[in-house]
Amino acid sequence: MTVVAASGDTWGISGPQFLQIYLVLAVAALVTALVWRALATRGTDPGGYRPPGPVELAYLAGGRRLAVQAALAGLRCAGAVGPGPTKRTVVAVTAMPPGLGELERALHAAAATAQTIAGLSADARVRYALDRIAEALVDAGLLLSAGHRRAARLGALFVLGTAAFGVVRIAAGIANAKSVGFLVFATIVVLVVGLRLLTVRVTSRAGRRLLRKARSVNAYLRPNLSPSWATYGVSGAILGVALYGTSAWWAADPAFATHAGIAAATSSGSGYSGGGNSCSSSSSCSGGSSCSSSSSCSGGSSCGGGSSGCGG
Amino acid sequence: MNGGYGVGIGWRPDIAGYVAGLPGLRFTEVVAESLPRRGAAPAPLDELRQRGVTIVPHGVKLSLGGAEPVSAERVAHLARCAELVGAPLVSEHIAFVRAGGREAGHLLPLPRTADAVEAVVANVSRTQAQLPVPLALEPIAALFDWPDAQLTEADFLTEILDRTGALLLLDVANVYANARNRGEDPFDLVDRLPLERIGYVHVAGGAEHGGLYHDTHTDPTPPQVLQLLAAVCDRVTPPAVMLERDGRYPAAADLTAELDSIASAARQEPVTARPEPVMEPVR
Repeated sequence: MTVVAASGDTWGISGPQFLQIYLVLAVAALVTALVWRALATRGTDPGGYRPPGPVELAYLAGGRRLAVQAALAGLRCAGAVGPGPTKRTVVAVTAMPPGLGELERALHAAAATAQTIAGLSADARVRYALDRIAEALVDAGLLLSAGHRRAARLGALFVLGTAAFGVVRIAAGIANAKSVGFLVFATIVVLVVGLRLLTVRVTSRAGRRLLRKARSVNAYLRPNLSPSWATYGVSGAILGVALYGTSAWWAADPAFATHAGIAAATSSGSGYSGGGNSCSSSSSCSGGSSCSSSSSCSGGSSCGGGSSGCGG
Repeated sequence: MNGGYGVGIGWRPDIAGYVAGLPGLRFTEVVAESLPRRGAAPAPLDELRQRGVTIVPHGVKLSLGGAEPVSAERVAHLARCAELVGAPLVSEHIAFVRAGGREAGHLLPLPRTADAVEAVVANVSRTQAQLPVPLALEPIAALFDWPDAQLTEADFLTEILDRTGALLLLDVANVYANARNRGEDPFDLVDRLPLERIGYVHVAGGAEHGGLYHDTHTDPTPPQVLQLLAAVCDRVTPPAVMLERDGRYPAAADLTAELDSIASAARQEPVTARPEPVMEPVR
């Protein structure tokens, strides 16, 4: 059947013709958005910057929550913290061991009286230490600044604009008593893709690359090997939690993990999506494209924003 | 195996990173039952092999001393392990771990009788027939002896090795434990063992509980075991000497110190330090 423009067509373009134009437009918008996003999220490889330590890697992999849990693993491995008197609490049991970082010192000081991990994380000095880590990671180009993330989100406007255009045509089509079923379907798909593009991971691509490298170099810390914290020492304990999430806690010290209420699986994907208050259900790994390609993702369900793994 | 493997440590997943980090390592052992029934060897083991480290599968569940014939399936797995890691030999225990279909969960000693020798020899021969590489046999540490022994431990062992042509995996900690728990002199026993048949040597730690010495593999190696190792190495140079540690892993520095003491007792180069760099001549 040959399609020709008829006088009754909306805007003088037939439905099938418009659908073709619309699809081309949508693909062009998507490509533009992806290029825009890729440029905004690439980050920088930390050239002159000293390589991030284990706690910083934990922040990179799972945000503030994982940084705290990793730092606690270091303190626990050093014997400096133990289970508190009540359920879910942690308490300092020795003087601060030497050689640990600012976050560990802050946590140890905060744990002078027994506290939950949430309580420790809310401590002013702990929060300050976490802010400092985040700043250093942003400066290094491994975490995206708020500005970069906003810029990356702007890429979604190309796609959302296309969806809006689709809505206008649908309205016009309905007003003209034309069938709009295919266009409605196409517009919904474009809208969903556009909304999806509003989620931008906090970790830059350089940051995720660094995590992948760290995971391949330190594969011996994978929880399924039940790595011995005693043998690998404090930095091994921190690094294990940083790279493989809290299942590392469960492999090494299940009794303490249970007592302290440490969730069995947190984000161990390549970078986290939370941060601030954007712990939405549409976490960065739900699409599957970014995580499934990374072989170091342990366990299908523990990617990105699992039930408990959100950075916020 | 002919000589020159130096001091090693048993590969366990928990300390895989430590083992991989030993710069001078040329020998390790992996528990055969921990290797997969199909598919490739664990990546860390493959990496060691590519580095030129010799890996020996060590069986613990074959039950060579059982009255019933060894399971063909278990022997096939041991043979597959040898191929999987490119081993020059495999090892098992002179012990039984099941009887009448029931698992003991432990390595149990055999009565030192002519009948037991026949049973072990038959099972070892069946196993050897299916293995692509030589088999080394390890006498176990036993907390008790069956009554009415017809043979001494040395004669029992020599008889089995002579009739099967198997190598000896000498565990000096087991020799020490047995002699001490029987109130005998471990150096005497060492002198009566066929040391020239040693495939390699095990060293392990233990602890005393209730008047008995337990070969725990979760405590440091006591000085007496190191002295016994030195005595063995006075008489022969074993192809390899290896620490077995199976739990309550200590700090890396402690493991390193233990490996160094073993190297010193065995008169071998330490494997824990990088060899001295060769200096380029200064022009």
